[in-house]
Amino acid sequence: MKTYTTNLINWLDKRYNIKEIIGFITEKKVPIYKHTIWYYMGGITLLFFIIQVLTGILLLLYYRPTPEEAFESVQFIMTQVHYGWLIRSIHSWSANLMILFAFIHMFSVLLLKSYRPPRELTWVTGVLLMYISLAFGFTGYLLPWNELSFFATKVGTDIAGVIPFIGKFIIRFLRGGEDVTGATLTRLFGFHVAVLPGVIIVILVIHLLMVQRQGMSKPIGLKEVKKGMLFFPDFFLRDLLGWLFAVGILAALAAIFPWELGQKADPFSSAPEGIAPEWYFLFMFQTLKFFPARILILDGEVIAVFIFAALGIFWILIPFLDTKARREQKSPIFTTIGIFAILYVGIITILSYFVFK
Amino acid sequence: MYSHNLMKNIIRHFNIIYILFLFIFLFPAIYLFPQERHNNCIECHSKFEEEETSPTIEFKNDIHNTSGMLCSDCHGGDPEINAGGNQELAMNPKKGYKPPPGHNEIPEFCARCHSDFEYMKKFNPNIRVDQYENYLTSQHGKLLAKGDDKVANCVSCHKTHGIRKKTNPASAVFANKIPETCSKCHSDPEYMKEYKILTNQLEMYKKSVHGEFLLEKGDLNAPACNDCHGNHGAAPPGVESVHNVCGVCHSGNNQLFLKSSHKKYFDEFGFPECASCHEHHLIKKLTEESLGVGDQSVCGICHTQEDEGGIIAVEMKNIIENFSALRDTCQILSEEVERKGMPVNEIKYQMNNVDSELLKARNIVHSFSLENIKQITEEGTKLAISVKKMANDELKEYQIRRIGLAVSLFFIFLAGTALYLKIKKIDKKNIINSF
Repeated sequence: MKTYTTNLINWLDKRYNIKEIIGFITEKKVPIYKHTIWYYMGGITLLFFIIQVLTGILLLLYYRPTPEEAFESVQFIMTQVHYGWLIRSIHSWSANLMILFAFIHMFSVLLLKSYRPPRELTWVTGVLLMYISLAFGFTGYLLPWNELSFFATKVGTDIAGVIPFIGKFIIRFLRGGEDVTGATLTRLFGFHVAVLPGVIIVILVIHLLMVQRQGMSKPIGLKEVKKGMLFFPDFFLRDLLGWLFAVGILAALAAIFPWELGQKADPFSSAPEGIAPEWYFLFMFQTLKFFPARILILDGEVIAVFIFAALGIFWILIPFLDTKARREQKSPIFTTIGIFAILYVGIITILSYFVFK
Repeated sequence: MYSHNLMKNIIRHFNIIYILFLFIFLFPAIYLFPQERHNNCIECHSKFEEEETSPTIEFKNDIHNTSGMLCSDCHGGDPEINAGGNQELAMNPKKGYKPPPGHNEIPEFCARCHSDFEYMKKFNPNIRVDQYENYLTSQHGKLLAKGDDKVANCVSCHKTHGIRKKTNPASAVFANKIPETCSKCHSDPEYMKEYKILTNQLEMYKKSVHGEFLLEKGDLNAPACNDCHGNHGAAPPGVESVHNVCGVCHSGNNQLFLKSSHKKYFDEFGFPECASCHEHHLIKKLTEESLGVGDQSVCGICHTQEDEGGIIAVEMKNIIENFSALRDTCQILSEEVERKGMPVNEIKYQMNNVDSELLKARNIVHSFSLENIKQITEEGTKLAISVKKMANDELKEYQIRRIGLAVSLFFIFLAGTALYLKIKKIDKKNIINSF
């Protein structure tokens, strides 16, 4: 068996010089210190992404993206297809866990300042992956065509409409018309299963190649890390252990709390009470509500949307703005920004569930 | 040259054109904004009638006022004359003024317009004009004709000057106000003493299934007094007409009853048909307990345990009770399936069918045929058994999922432990201490 493997490697090496890649991986090292645990978060996010792709493909076999059939086809998946309920439940739970771990990964990278040179573009691609994941969440939410997702999409796309000059165009672009209709469903379905996967795969590959090429970053002031482990097999096996743990949690959540389908959307009925987006949009949704209707002569909601857009760009540019970290110095300002962002997002999200209902 | 002369002519006749223009365009404009009709009656009467119930206040929201009518349209006189406070001029009999009608004159007084379709269709082309005609046939109308000045006339129900459309919730004859309006007289023992009729109708009605729907649940389609007794022709239906009155809404049950063996005997004994079991005004919603010959049964009023009717009644009770108990079991199972987060849509859908079969079985009791009841409940029972199976299957599936999860977690745990031991083993040789 070993001879076969060696022969295969030799055969491939003659053609693609793969021994160089194998050598690179086997020699790659990962530092061991008190924050090593955060290195696993990206891997877990990747695992949930892979689960999303696999379960998504299975759902595609039965899902039909029309207002007449969308709800019924999901209902069919959940009640008639063997293990359909499990696949759909895993897809929904895994989506949420993927975004949760993407948040944890992003904030750990932010606080450890791992974005500093030479890893600026790894951060940029990572933030872009985060935004695309949120877009996945938004576009996938409407697909079951249930009451809650229908009205949440209506409210969500309405927000885009407040942008001066191009707001109306964005609404028409997202909805495929003036209102949320069957055209919106097929459009968001197209984004969800074709456009976004294409884009995310390209950026994800770049992101992973960068991480592999540059290795793990060590935090500022911890240059003298003495202990370390080989990426393969030590870190890889630990990663695998983390994946097993994540799969166990996912299986338990999907089986014990199967994702509900709710009531079929009725575009002519009035919006039910308590319309809210998915939890990862709640902090933005709630912040919009905090803004007064008018600030001086400007519309409060417009200002809020612009602030969020500016913050989104600021977030991408952090590695270039944090000049202290660039010089390998501690940068308390960006640590404070990071902690404030975590507290704000966390507290507002929790309060949205329990207080601002 | 020609056009020059034309211009000269136009300028010369400019004044005439101008006046013509004003006449053509301004006159219709004046017509479009008619002046409000002046009402001297309100002006004078409001000075000495300041109570809330005074006509000048009540009339503000009266349907006649909102339709553009004046006091004089009913009472005559000239409200638009500039009388300077002179009553004689405004309330001049020569101008048609008539003093307010007496109690017995009111129906005829209102009927002057309300029985005149030619006049009334101006306000509503579909309006009814048979109220007076109906009223004359009513118990109220008949007694009024005999000179009784206590019986109800138009204003007793509709008010005098605060009359509103029956579809206006503030109207005294709005659907859910009717029981109270009728009870003003009918629940007053002192007032009704001389007529020797019961005065507990409202009390009974409130406890009835009709009252529960109309007054508690706010279902405006539920019947009030007028739906059984008639509106303007109000009268007790009479024993032989009860099935017709109830049959207006409960037509299916009525048909079953008419074809049943009971119809003949009820007629023979002079039983008030539907009211014999359901009572009148109290309109009881009967349950399975009302069947058979037990303490609460209505069959037991006439039948005994030994007679044929009694034996059939007991069997009917048992059949429907068994079906109802099976239906309840299905309901409990369905709720459990839902609580456990399992798919319940199909079960709920089929539960609706079971419920409608149970409803059918309860209704078919009005045919008093054991055969019919057996047939309906057999179909319903089959359906309920299939629902029970579906629910049990879902509960089994729930258990399978639990076991499947436990097994999966066990293997994940096993794999994790093996991986952990492997890591520990290779750590000893692989950890680099000089990174």
